[in-house]
Amino acid sequence: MIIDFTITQNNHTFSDALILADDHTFTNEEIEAMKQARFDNWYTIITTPAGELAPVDEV
Amino acid sequence: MANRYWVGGTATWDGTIGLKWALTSGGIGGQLAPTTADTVFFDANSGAGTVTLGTTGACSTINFSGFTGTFAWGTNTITVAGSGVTVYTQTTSSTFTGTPVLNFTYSGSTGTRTINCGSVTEANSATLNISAGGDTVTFQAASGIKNLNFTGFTGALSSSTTRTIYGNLIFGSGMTTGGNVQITTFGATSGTQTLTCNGVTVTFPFLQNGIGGTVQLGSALTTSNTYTLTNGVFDANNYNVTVASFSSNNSNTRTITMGSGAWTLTAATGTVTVWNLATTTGLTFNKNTANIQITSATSGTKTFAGGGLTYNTLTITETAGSLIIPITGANTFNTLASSQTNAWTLTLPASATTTVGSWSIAGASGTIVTLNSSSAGTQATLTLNGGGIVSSDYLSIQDSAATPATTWYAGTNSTNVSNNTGWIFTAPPTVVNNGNFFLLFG
Repeated sequence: MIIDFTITQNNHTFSDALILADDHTFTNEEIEAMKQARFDNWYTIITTPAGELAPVDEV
Repeated sequence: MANRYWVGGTATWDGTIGLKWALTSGGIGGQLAPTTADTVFFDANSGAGTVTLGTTGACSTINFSGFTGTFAWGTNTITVAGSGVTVYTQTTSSTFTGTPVLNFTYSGSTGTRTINCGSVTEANSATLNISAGGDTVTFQAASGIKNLNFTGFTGALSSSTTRTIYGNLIFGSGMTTGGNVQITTFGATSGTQTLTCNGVTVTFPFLQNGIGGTVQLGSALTTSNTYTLTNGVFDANNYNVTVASFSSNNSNTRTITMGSGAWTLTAATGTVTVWNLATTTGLTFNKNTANIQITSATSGTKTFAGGGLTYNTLTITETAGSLIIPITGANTFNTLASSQTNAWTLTLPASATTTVGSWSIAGASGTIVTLNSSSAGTQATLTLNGGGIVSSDYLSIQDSAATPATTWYAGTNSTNVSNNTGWIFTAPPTVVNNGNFFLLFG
């Protein structure tokens, strides 16, 4: 089961998908919490300094 | 636990005993078929015949090192239950036929499972389902893999070597990845590969290099590293894309389909090109409705090499200070916007035209935005397309030609440094709407 969702907060829009077993037993509240957790994790990523990275050569 | 060496030559791996399995390499057959407690070997003494997998195979670990024969999987699978050691070793000297699938079933959380697929071709690559466990999984030596599926796995993937994936890559919700150097390459030359992060923030870089292949997202892509498109089609499938940088700077045939999700370039530390489409030869670029944001929580120079393409909104979000954003290429932006907590610099290409549908870049008292050209003394042209006016403020402008005339209002707090044309260093005229018509007071 794929649950596509979009969350917009403070002008930040996040589109993702929850991929759950067809017979999952999560409640709606738990699913909403998972969506919010995804957004929160993403928001942390885009506001946290990234480290120095190794280059990937084009072919 | 016991060793099981294949000595059956051309025969079928099933539940029968025969003379197929020995306790030692090249030894005398007659041992029971392996179970999930046994270590299985196909080696140089297993012959060059064809071993047919006639049942669901079981082992603790399996090792094909030195095997020169053919292993015919058909539609059967092998269950690999071991942990804490090298659980799977493939080799380029043997040939796989059928649909190779290995199911790794260890469900504990101790030790490291090491997998060594070798640099096998797409035709010889196997699907690896790591469906349980909270331990560490690592790949030893460069590995060729068909599908790599971590659904159900909650441990850590250690990125110690490069991997080439010819099928789907699915991360397990709750797992983590480590390492930021070794590349995962998507290498399929036909069909669609699905990349599903399942909420996992990946730490290693991706390289897409399959001529004729497509990589399509199955969920939002978030990596603190880079994504490089060298060949093929990248389809964001309307999900968010969050990468340190995105690059497709070559002349190969490739396509970017941005979709409707938000693209965020998190701009790694130092001087980096966060968006590199400088060379657009061979590129099909579908901007769709996606917007791009550069979020720079680190200082430094973060280049947006747009390649002269048309984009929706590009937003620069500055939070670190000492930020310089050079934009290269004669690009068109439906909107060019920014927000900042510190002063920063936007450098536009000299002797080229940057076209915008709207301009939402302005500094503030104490956080001036410097607007200049990539070549001191040579103007960079800004053109407003579609009518209307630009109203900005707190800019420090140098070497900028703004067109059309009577359109670009820099505001009363902006500075006319030198070599500017077209800019009006006042606030825009007040618009009065009396219900019937508009009056402009210049």
